[in-house]
Amino acid sequence: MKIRVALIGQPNVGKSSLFNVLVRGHVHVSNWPGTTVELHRGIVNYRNYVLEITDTPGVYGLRSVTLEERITCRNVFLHGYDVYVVLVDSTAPERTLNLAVELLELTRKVVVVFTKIDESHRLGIHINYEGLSRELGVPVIPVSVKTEFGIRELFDKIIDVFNTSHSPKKTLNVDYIELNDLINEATKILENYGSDSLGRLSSRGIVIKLFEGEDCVEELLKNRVKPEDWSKLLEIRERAEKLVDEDLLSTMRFYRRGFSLDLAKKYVVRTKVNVDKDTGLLRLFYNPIIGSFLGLTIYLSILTLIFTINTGFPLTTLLQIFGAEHLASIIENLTIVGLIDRFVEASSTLLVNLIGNKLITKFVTEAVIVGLGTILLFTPLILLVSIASAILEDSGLAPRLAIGLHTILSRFGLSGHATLPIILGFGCNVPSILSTRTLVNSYERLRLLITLSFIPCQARLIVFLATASALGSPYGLILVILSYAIALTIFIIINWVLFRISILKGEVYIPDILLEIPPVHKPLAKVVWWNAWSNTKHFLIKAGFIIFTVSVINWFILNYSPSLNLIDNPGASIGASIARYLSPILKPIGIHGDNSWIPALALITGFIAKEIYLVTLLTSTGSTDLSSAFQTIGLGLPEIYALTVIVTLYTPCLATVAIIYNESRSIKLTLATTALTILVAYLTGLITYVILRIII
Amino acid sequence: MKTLDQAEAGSRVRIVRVEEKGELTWRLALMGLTKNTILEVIHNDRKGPLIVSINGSKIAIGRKIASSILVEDIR
Repeated sequence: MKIRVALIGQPNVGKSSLFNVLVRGHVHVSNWPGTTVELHRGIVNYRNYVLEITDTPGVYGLRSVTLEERITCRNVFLHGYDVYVVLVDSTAPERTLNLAVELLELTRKVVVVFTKIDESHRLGIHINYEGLSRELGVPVIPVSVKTEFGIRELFDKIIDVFNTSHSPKKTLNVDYIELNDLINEATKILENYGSDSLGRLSSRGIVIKLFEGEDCVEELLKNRVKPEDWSKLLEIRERAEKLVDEDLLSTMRFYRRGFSLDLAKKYVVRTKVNVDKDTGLLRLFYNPIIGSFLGLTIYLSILTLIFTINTGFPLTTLLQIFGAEHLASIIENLTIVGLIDRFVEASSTLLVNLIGNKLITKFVTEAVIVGLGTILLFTPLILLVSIASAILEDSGLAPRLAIGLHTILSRFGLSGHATLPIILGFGCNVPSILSTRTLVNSYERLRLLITLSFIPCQARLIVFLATASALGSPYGLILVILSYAIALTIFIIINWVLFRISILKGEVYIPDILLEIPPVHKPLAKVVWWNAWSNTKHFLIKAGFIIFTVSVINWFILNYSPSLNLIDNPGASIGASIARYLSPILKPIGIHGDNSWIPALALITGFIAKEIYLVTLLTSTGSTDLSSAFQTIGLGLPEIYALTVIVTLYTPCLATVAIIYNESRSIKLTLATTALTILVAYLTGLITYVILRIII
Repeated sequence: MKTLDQAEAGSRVRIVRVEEKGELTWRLALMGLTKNTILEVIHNDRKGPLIVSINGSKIAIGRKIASSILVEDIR
């Protein structure tokens, strides 16, 4: 499928450099028909699409005054493109946003791109792209031609916009105050013609351009509308001219400019940045030994803080060791996981009291509330990680930590660029995998896509903590430490092995660091919130739907028999009969007998999200706490350890699988990664079991 | 002539040649690291990445990449 794309922007917004990056220097140069102005065009093949990208001459507005402006206007109004990429200079958004607004009045087939983002970051300018995108109704993305950040996303968005069918009526509405009535009157006349005859542009947008006296639009209308309508349009324009004090063009420009400035005021903030402050303490990050130490300390403190707020670990565990059991349980109740648990429990009890013990109550409490509870539980987990990452990014600390940790990581075939993805992974694998986009080396990125799911996220931490409290002291704490140690070791080993394989296969680019270091400044609360919330929202939309749907399916297969009768005994359910086929696999790790289908089923459902593993263990055994669930199934210490190791290492959740596919666009890689994690999980679980059997 | 990783901290150097191929040359060019560019070496401890300054912006360059950039001292 071919998509004709036009780059539109003011002079000096970085249009030609973006064009060159997009087409990778493969430019076809000719002249615009009938002129001596050079026409630059390039072809890009991307995801089964052929993008034909045209670099239009730079214009300050869609108005034909100079020859170059004339070319751009004629092509927009008379020929039209499938998708317009309009450029805004992020170092001067107040001045350059206007052109985007002008174009958006005409069409919604637009992607707004903010250029020079490295520079604006250095100047302390922050832009809420998410908010702008919501307000403008089209994708708004930051792009750097220096690091190629956002280039892939730009291609994806161009294809999205191409494939979305917008009604041309729903374009951006700028308020022209006293002119609104006349604009509407003229728009009504044009609406009889349908957008195809108007170059697929909105009638209102065309009327605005007609009022402004744009030649190309006059030419377009004269050819396409009936003579009587044309004279009506001219008559309305005359009335409009009499209505305003100044000339019509200046008045309309004034209102549009006000609209753009209001947008900029709402979504752009500026901070003071001292450019040459990179002295003293900050220089310590450059030293490979002190830098690594500092970096690890900062990251560990952040993770500890996040873990404590969410789950109480490791604070509560420390308190228990020192005998302050009572204080520990108070804190545990106040953690986010504790609060949400109680909320879910309380709402279930309330429902049972209100409607009584009917099938619908059972469905709502066990399927709907569990599903919503899981999403509710995830939200603060992701949000806190996103806030931490936004603070590190915005302050300019993240690249320094990457430099500090580069030397250690380079031993395993990774580079400093992998620092942020790894650390985010401890919070949640989804943002972690998304953050690999900034990687320079594509082989390194591929290795990270495959291995990042071995980093235990907070959902797995919840499983560790629940299992640990069922085991009691000291085996519980040992389990938590062991799980993290095993997961990290596996992550390092697999990375190293993949790196060696790729060298044998002839990879020449050994991962190395290459990044720009922005000046450090105090993070802005508003900016941190913009970024963190947009991250969290994306996750909720993506994963929320999957988690909820699967919770409902999960309830169904546990409460119905294969002949579709409602049952009380989960052992007779659809889920149990599926799991019975799988349970022999668990025999080598000592799980066998009548109830061995329960851990098998827990592992299957755990594929969706890790706490569903816990939920399945509890509901299938009909127990309220995990230690009695383990007793019912007949699991001893070695079996529980082996099972937990498997849970730590195999596919983290459906959302992660979806993100891996989204980022790699390869079904093969996604399936291979899933197979690898399952295989590694099983083998490591087996080894753990065998070793424990020998020791105990 | 020497490679960038051998340049002293505090010295100013001009890029003579970039001996990388493909993807990486492209990346270096995007960062402004092309032939005849003048750099100031801010930090080089002979173990970790180098920090250089180019047109007022700071860039961290790993030692492997730096060893493929040929430079000469300028006064």
